[in-house]
Amino acid sequence: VTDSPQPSGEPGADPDPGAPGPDYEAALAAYRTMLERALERLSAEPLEGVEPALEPELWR
Amino acid sequence: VAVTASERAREALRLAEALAEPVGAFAELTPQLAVDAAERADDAVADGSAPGPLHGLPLAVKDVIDVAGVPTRLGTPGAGHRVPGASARAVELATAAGAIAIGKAHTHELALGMVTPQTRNPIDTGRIAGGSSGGSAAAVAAGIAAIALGTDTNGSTRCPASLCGIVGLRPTRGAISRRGVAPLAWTQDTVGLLAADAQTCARLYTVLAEDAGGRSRAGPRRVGVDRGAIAAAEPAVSRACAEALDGLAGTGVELVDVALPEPALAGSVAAVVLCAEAAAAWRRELASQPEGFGPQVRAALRAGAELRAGDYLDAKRARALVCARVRGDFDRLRLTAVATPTLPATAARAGAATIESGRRERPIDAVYSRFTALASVTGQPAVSVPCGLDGAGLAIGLQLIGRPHGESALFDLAAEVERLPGSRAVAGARAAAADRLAARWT
Repeated sequence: VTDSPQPSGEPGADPDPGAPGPDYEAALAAYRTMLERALERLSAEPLEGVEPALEPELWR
Repeated sequence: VAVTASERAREALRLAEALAEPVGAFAELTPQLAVDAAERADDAVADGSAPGPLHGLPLAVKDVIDVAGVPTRLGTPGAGHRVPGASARAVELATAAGAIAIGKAHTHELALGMVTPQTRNPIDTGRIAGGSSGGSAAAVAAGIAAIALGTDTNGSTRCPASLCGIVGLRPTRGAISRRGVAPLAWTQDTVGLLAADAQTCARLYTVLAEDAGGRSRAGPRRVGVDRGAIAAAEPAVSRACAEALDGLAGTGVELVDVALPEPALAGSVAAVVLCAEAAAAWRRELASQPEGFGPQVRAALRAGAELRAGDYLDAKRARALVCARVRGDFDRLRLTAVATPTLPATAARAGAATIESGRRERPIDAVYSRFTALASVTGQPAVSVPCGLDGAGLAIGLQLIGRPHGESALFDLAAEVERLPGSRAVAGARAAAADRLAARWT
């Protein structure tokens, strides 16, 4: 993400973090928001009883 | 016409130097190493040795991947810089097969971003090359390198491949060694491969894949099409992908409608996993040398460090759901691959922070990772192959996501796409742009 004015970094995906400038504090706030939204999105899934897949399971 | 490895390496180095200003693909060229290696390769062939499968192909190496004796700088202002004593395993294998490493290609800082601001898109130098393997993709698209190594954690090879009009592969997780590659997110990181065409990319993959896991089941070619994903892209992207799929159907590929998990779910998993794992991987450097990272990366690592263990595990539980759903679709529909656009939009203007998608301006990374996150989360291989141009002449890529260890089938499908008019138009535009650059700057 360097010091360019680019936003969220690769984690961006759909939880839109907004478009912070190169300022650290603004970027930190944007990342926190992005992660909060991501966690909210995950909480909507039926995770009860699901064991974590620590690594992707490769199937045939 | 360059005929020896030495001549080809020298020509690549000359072109790379000449295009440093308009394209800026390389963080550092390694002319002495390249020429020495090329001369050794030529001598070996002259002495009767069979040329390796990559003999004489100029190779660009992303600057998060070690080349012995050459600084690895990760695109950071200082964090993580070092001079490795050994090359990464992928570099060892490629050069042992005859490839000639000509330099370290620019990366978006720490491979954490999809712009690579140091580099411009050879098709239109007013546009970004994409990232994070932007230098690697631009080197190939400009005709400097024949092959390139990148990395792909959440789309970092497929994104610049799509924007620069070339082929980019994210391999099955674990198929290619990550030894000597700086970590970003351990459970999603892969070494990505870039080349101008599917056949060359396949040749590179064959050299590098040490854990091909046996062949994936062969069978009738059935491609799942997520019509929702295609409709959600910008109109020109939707049209080009739809035309490519129609063309595939015309070659005997059976198309089957499929509804993949919504992109926001995989994107959310990827966001949490990536930030948490990157924060853990770079914890010491962040504590001891925070100014060694740019403000955006520092912020990402700090935010990742604030995540709780339970948050991380919830993301891993959601990963299990996503994997199960995708596997269910592949098995139920007996799919060879699933097709989506690689990216919802074409190359953003250089310097822009946002790009239009869905009739509003959104952060570039959020847009570009929309369809790439899924394979990153599930560990499946995915290839981006050029499939058309938009109204501004910018490249559009079709993403094909395969079964684990199904790279061979992906390359076959990608080669079919390359024979279609849309893909041929991209190849023509890319070659014409490279010729224009060379004519003006050399």
